Amino acid sequence: MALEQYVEALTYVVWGIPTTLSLALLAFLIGITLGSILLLVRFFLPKPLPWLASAYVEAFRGTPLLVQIFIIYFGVGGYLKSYGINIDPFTAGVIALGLNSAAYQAEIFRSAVQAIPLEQYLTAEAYALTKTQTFRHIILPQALRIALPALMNELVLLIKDSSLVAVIGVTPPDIFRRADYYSASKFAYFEAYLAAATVYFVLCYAMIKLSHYIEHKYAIPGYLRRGII
Amino acid sequence: MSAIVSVRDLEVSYGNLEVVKGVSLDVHQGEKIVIMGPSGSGKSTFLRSLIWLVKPRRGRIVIDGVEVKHDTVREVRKKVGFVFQSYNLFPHLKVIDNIVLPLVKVHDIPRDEAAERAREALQMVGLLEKANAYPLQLSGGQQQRVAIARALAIRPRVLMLDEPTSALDPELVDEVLHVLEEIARRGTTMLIVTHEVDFAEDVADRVLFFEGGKIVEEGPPEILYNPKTERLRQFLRRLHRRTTF
Repeated sequence: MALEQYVEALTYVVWGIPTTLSLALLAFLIGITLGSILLLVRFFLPKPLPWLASAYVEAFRGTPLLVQIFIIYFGVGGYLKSYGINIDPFTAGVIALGLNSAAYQAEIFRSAVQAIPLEQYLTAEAYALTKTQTFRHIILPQALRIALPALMNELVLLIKDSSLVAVIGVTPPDIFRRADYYSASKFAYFEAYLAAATVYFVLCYAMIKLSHYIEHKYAIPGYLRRGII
Repeated sequence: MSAIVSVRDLEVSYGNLEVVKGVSLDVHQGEKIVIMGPSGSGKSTFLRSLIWLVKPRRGRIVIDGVEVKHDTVREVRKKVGFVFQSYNLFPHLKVIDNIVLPLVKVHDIPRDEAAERAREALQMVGLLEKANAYPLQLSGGQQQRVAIARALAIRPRVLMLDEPTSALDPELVDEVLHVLEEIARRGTTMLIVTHEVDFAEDVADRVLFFEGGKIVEEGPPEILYNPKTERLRQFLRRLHRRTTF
């Protein structure tokens, strides 16, 4: 491995950052929106709607993301093409990542809501708060704090998983696809993929640090943390 | 004199387990009722079921002239201040906002007035300087006093306290009991589940002794010196042994 080659690969691969981050962030937004809707359906609506929400979650958690990407790009995309509607790889990728993330984010929200002690609901009830008021003023603010580390982790996962979208030929090319190009044209496989790994790592590490910052900023004062770094 | 709390033939079950087995009780305006009994005797469940935190299986409850039913339970809860054993403050809200929230959202009191009432209530429990602290920054005794202030601020017709000192370290019990004695002196109607015998003697107009989901003995606090039933005698002996070793 040549250091110069690695540095050159890095300078080529970093230009994939905008695509990678756009994929991850847009998917995260779809995920958080749809994930919240799934939570509200499970929390407020009468059966069988919560069951349908759970079925959605299990379907997306129980199948590989790569298969989902293929179903949406080639399957749904191919079907729509026969009606003259074209879905480009980037859009298909964002939708697939977003739908997948929604399932995981719905689970994050569910476990956060369930982590809140029953006594909090009981107290809200004793003080005659309505179910909506309880959710809005008591449950949600606490659940979001509990969910925060897991949500940021989900964003980190999305940054990494967005590399799967390279296989359907996303344009402009993301980090991984640019590493592919570089390795193929220079026959420098090790340098190219190590450069990609470096860039992914820096992005993810920055997100993890940001997550710690936000957690501390919004921590409930007086809440004792376990001494884990 | 008509009762402010009137309970007839109340039965409460958890699934097949009968916990309260036919309790009737009349509480008069300004009366202080202390409820004692061994663990599992149904005393906490009884208190909670009065405002349907546990829904009774059978029986009739009237509080301040309103019968507790599906469509009146919210109205009844607005008249009752409830204090839990584990304080149950909302940890993400400042002390003052814990008190203001029900006033603004449930009692439709303007925010300024609610804040003023909250400060009065905090003054009463001696914690005005903690208004802007968060619950988890306070000691257990302080948290329970805030919970009492939260209950007082709604100006309840009846104050219900479910073992308010049981979760506290022994040296923090007194500060909470002093506050409760002060409230009792002001004539508030109170139902208190507690094991504090001295407190009961000082404050109670009537003591109820629960056992097996029923009231097995009731009377003035003197029954704590001179119990009629063997069961209460045993209970007090055990309690006495535990506190004096």
